[in-house]
Amino acid sequence: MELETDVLVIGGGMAGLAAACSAADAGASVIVVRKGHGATADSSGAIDIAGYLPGGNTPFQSGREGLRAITGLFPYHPYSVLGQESTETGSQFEKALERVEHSVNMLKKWLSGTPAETIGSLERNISAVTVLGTSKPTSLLQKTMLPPDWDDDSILLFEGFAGNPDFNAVLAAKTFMAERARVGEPPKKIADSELTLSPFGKPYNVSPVEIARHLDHPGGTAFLADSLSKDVERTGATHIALPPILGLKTPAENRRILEDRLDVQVFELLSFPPSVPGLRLLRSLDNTLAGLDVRILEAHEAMNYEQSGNRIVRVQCKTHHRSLDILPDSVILASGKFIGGGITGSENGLSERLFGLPVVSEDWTSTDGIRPQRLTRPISINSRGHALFACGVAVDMHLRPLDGSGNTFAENLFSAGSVLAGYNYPVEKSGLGVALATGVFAGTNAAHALQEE
Amino acid sequence: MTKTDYDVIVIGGGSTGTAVARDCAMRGLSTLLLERDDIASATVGTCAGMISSGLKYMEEPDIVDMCSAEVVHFNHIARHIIAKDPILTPMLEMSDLSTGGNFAEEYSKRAAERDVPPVLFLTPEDSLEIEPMLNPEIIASMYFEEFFIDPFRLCLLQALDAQRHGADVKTYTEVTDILLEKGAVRGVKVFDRTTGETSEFISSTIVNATGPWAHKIAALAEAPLELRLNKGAHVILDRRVVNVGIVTKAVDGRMIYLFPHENTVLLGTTALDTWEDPDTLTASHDEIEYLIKSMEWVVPSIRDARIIRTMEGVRPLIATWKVPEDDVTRGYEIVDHKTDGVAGLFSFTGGKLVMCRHMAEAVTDLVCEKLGIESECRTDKEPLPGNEDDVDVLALAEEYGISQHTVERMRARRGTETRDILALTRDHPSWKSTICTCEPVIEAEVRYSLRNEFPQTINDLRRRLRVGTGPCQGTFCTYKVAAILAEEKELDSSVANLELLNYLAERWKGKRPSMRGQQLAQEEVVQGLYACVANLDRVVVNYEPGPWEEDA
Ligand SMILES: Cc1cc2nc3c(=O)[nH]c(=O)nc-3n(C[C@H](O)[C@H](O)[C@H](O)COP(=O)(O)OP(=O)(O)OC[C@H]3O[C@@H](n4cnc5c(N)ncnc54)[C@H](O)[C@@H]3O)c2cc1C
Ligand SMILES: Cc1cc2nc3c(=O)[nH]c(=O)nc-3n(C[C@H](O)[C@H](O)[C@H](O)COP(=O)(O)OP(=O)(O)OC[C@H]3O[C@@H](n4cnc5c(N)ncnc54)[C@H](O)[C@@H]3O)c2cc1C
Repeated sequence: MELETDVLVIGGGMAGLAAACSAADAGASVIVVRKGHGATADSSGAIDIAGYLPGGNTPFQSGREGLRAITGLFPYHPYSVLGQESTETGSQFEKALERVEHSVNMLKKWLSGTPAETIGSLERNISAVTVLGTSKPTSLLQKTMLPPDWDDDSILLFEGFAGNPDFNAVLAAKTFMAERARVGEPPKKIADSELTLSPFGKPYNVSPVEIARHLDHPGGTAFLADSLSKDVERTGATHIALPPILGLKTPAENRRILEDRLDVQVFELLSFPPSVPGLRLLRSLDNTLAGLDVRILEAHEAMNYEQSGNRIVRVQCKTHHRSLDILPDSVILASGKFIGGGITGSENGLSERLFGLPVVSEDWTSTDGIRPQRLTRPISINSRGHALFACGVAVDMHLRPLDGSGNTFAENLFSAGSVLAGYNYPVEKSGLGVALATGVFAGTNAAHALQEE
Repeated sequence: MTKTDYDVIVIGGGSTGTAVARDCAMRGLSTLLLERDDIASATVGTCAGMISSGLKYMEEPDIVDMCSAEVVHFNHIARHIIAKDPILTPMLEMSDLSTGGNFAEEYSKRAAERDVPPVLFLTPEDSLEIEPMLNPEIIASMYFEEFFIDPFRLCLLQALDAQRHGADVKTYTEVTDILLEKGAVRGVKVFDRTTGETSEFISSTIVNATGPWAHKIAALAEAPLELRLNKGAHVILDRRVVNVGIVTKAVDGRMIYLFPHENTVLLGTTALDTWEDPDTLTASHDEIEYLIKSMEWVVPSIRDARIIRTMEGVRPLIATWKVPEDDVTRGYEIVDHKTDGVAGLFSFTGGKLVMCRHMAEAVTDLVCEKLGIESECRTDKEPLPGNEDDVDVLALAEEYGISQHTVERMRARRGTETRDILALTRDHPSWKSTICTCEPVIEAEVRYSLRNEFPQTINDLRRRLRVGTGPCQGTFCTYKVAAILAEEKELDSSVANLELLNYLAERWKGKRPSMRGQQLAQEEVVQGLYACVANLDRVVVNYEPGPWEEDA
């Protein structure tokens, strides 16, 4: 079978979906092929733009400040590439800022009214609270996850669920409190408790996704409110921190029910996988795309391609029951890094899976033949990170991947997201931000390339 | 007041030291076992756990006899932590056959006492039927059976049983000096690694069971001791590449093996002389490739599997020089340092896991003789904890509504204790929750271990429960275990988070040398959880790099 399309997007995580949205917004016909869930589904509910410099310990006050530092220091960072078009010195930052700001606005629009409705800005980083009770700087959060304001009289209750070992309220509360005391900021009083909710049948191996589904059922949230009321009374809580379980469909509404009934402020913590907020984000973007008439072909893997002259003319995709050839005018590679499957590595070195593009490291030096271990440090969790996670493909100023000699690999191939080299998202806290901004830019570029023909 | 005087002090909590402490305690000696880290934290924890009939030392019939008898004893005292695996030795060319003859004869002679069949020679067709993943070009294979014991549980059970018989067991207690008086030992000086305090324990008899550190302990008493230290690597793969054990010739003609273990396989091992501090060692790229390349000839699909980790251990061999490692005796020696002018100090060199009970009996005989005590060894007769009775896995699974697989895995660690652990869930139904999905391990077992088996760290819990040893290597259970540990031991949050980082570091030690393929995605998830989301790369804790992280 063959399908024609203006833009083919390979990969359906944040980068691919953002690219598809913006290409469709620009009027192109778009098909997305998605092999499976990548890193986006695992993400915690925060959209990080820039939290730290690698190795640095002072968080950026804002995404804007982060962009300024990064574009000034790292010419190969995707944010710097976004600013490259501008030739005047010093204005790279402004161009990059403009593009990132634009993509943040687009995202807010796409997610407006969805379960993943997002707030925040590039003007101020938020200190988000995680299921471990630690905090991290981020720029945007799903609305239900924004920590409320508290003062010295506030009492914050960390509430866990019996049989859900993903979240331990006792340790989370202790960790959060210790950090607050260290920086000398409210809240000053903290409590923890554990709820046993019988409607799930079994009081063990309760997954956050199960609880979330339950809350989406009529009466589910009201029941939770009743169960919580004793703990609120007992502890005098004014605020409640929950693991992210407030529903996959109507989290904002569910939160409102809790707040109204209990007369407290409620928020969700950033989660680990299986991540309810990650699913909300992915589903909401999928729905937005459906509204733009974009087709997402699930469980389709791009396996091969054909090139004619300097253009990709055909991409062969496979599911378990059929194979499908897509004939695109432009292609966007948004296949992710190791989790997504865009990049892989053996004892003989790293490679990009589909086009065999050369994989480069942070500063775009070749990683040819370097075995992965050599791109890591002896200490697993360290603030400088491992070079391994900054490896990916190198691109020109339009986000078109480069071949081994530094030339554009194909004039109609663009790329976005964590398949790109030059940024170390786990330590920078810039994962979804880079995916979003490069996705939007690649989508626009791919759509513009059509009009130029 | 804490007791400071003992009949005997045993240094080292590996297979040897715990066996010695058990024997001494069972014979009524007041016994102190000192271990600088945790029980089974060193060499024994890196071994394959094969209680071998003597595959590698057929040239030493006495030792083969001894090992064969020890297998019988272990099957009597610890059958709940033992499994029997079939093994094939596929041969690709005639020269591979040359190794077969003597082995088959020696093995078969002693097969009946161990309740296994004699060696069988199989055609290629029969071999492939037993193990379809073999290279179809094999010309023949030998079939035999060997027993495997859980080395961590064995050591822990020996230590717990020693305690039951009145011994004191102190982990995280490092011997820093040996006190001498008039040509004899008087006691030891120790450093408590948890509190940072030093103290002394008094005894006129000391057993040095410190494996590859034995020469260092002897040196504290100014007694000479020589060992030939020889390191070996294992590679663990994420799936059952084969369903029977494989033994084959490596690139240099040595024998190597591939043993299935639960959902994983264990590939080993190398043998390289070493002078490094064992604490700093990690597997090298050469060792990993040596093993994979060698096994690839007979199991061609081996590279398709994901390497989940590597481990490196150091064999404390008897000092025999100018011969290949393979030709060094697999026996052990007990050195009585009286001849060196240090009466009351006994050191082990050589030995193996399979011999630990035998080694203990021999040294305890010497200790009793010295102390003028007449007492018979019973370590081969009395069962270790958990082996008292059979356990009905199916009935328990049904009674508690827990999967049979989960209960069977617990039984293989616990024997009869399985019942006590499951009984905890009557008052705490939520403790049926799975904490480590790979293995699997439920919360009740974590709590039980914390209350009864003196673990201090998540890594200690790994040795007792196997949490974090499966394909995800602790990615998804480390933070859950840290929370339970913190709750049970009432730890400060900074201590708990440090614990979490320490365990991730320990797992990384084994994963890093072999990073490739799907493991890269697994590692991105680890970074995603603990750095990207939890921000633990920035939390303020006093992280101290491990000895293997020195070049950080
Ligand atoms: C546990 C975890 C938590 C995180 N939390 C956060 C967070 O809170 N905030 C934040 O900003 N960042 C977070 N990140 C980082 C962030 O999730 C990623 O950087 C981001 O999602 C990358 O998006 P992507 O679209 O480039 O890749 P992915 O989301 O990995 O998407 C790649 C897609 O490509 C598909 N694909 C690959 N190859 C093919 C092919 N050949 N054919 C068809 N489809 C293919 C995959 O199936 C997948 O759908 C987290 C990461 C992890 C691992
Ligand atoms: C790769 C490999 C594979 C093997 N496979 C097998 C096998 O399949 N079957 C088999 O039978 N044998 C096998 N062996 C051999 C076997 O593992 C060892 O011979 C045996 O386990 C050694 O046990 P141990 O108690 O003497 O030493 P260890 O386990 O090293 O114990 C010594 C202990 O002493 C402690 N210690 C050191 N210094 C001090 C101090 N100052 N104060 C307090 N404590 C101290 C250490 O922390 C350590 O816990 C293998 C060995 C290796 C390396």
